[in-house]
Amino acid sequence: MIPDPQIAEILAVHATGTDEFVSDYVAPSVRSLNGGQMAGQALNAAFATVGEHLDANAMHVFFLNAGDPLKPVEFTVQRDRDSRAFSTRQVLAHQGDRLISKVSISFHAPEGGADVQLPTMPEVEDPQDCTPTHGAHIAGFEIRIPRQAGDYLYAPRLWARSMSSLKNDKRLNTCALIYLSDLHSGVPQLTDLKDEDFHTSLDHAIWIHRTPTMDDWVLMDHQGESLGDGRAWYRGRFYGSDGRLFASLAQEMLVRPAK
Amino acid sequence: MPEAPELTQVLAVHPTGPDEFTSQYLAPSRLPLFGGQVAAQALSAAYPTVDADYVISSANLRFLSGGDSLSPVTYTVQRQRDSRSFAHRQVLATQGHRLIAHAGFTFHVPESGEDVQVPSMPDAPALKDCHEIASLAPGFESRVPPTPPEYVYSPNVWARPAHPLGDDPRLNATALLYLSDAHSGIPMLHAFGPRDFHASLDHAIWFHRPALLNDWVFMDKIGESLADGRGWYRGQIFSSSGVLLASMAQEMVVRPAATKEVVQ
Repeated sequence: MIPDPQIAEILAVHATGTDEFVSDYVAPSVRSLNGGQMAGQALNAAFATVGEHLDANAMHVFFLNAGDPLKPVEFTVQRDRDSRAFSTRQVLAHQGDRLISKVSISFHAPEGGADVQLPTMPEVEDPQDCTPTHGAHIAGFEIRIPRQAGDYLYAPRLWARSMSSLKNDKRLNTCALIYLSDLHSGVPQLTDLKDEDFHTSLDHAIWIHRTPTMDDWVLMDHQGESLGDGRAWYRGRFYGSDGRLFASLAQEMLVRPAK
Repeated sequence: MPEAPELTQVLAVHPTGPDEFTSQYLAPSRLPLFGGQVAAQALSAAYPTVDADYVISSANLRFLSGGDSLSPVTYTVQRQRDSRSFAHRQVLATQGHRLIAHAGFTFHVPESGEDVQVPSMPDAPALKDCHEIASLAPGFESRVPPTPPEYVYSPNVWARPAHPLGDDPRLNATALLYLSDAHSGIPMLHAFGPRDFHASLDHAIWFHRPALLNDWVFMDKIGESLADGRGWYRGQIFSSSGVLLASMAQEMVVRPAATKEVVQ
């Protein structure tokens, strides 16, 4: 068996020009380009263009055209703003002439101050008590599915942990969170989604409230909320194993039942 | 209450070149430029560039620098995608050489299928138990329930256009986007005083179902997190009959008054 690649390898990009980067990792035999992987790489490219003191605080990804999983992705970073406390970047992801995605990213120099969190982590089984799963595969992560209501194509709640150490590297941990964040969805809570139904992400919005530690267990908790006119919408949260809210996300998907 | 402007005037832009538009409405006095106004005018600029059967499905604004409410705003529309069922536009909002915001809009040709709504209308205070305030979105009538005295904004509000808006779906969606940036869930995080500095960093909204604003809508915002000077809330807008019209989220920078400084 070929060992899983490490997250740092999957998300690596290298510079090919001023503010231009290309991804190094090409997934072996998958059906479609993983949107989370592309978004994590886009963030990695943007990080290289902002000051070391900045954390990523928000990302909004628009998926514009399907990507080819067997080809590298080229990232062009546009510098929209650099102020003392904030930088904003827009990253265009191309494969050849095809614009596959547009990513808007905000970076912030953390300011300290009050720390307030209202949502609390739902009570679920500890990852150690969950049956290891063979579904929900995402290269570089271990996944555990806790017992939960409903029997869905994708479980709305899951535990994940990087299989390799992320070495307390804030940026790598944040890129790893983005990579993971497109996994599963809350859409099966809205409709009896089947594998043969067509469903694809339209956008992906995520706010990173606190620096995550992705080589410890994190709980993803998705909640489907609306389906209409062919568009499904869910929101989600990431908690650390100590219950801290790392991030909140929202995504809209296109859902077309198989004919 | 000051006399409400016509929403159609507040939201209007006129073409000044290919895919370029300028706003006409100027606030009666110098105030920080309302982000909802920039968002809605940007949508007014994007709509003429997509075919009539496309409806707005989502909007994402990033606010880059403060705008001047006494100067018009120029909107430049970039056509980033046109497919059979989707269109995507990016709109740059500038005043002079200053980029004040950029917006991403997704438009979709509605497809038939199931309609499922999970959240139900929260236990909203009855309109008769709410009092009118000077609207944070001029052109709307706004009524809020009794709110703790330390709250700068009520996290929830009933609103409707002060003057009838008609039934043009595009105009109604644009007005809903305008309204959606008013009020905030941040006061629920108990770390936000009247003198503290606060500014929207972004604004994301998903339009789930067509809105008609000839009746009251209820907007409910929920503060969830504050850390490192950034507050985050999510929100929902319901029709008076409880239909979920839109979901949203916003991040704000929040700084105690003593360290007040400009965001730039």
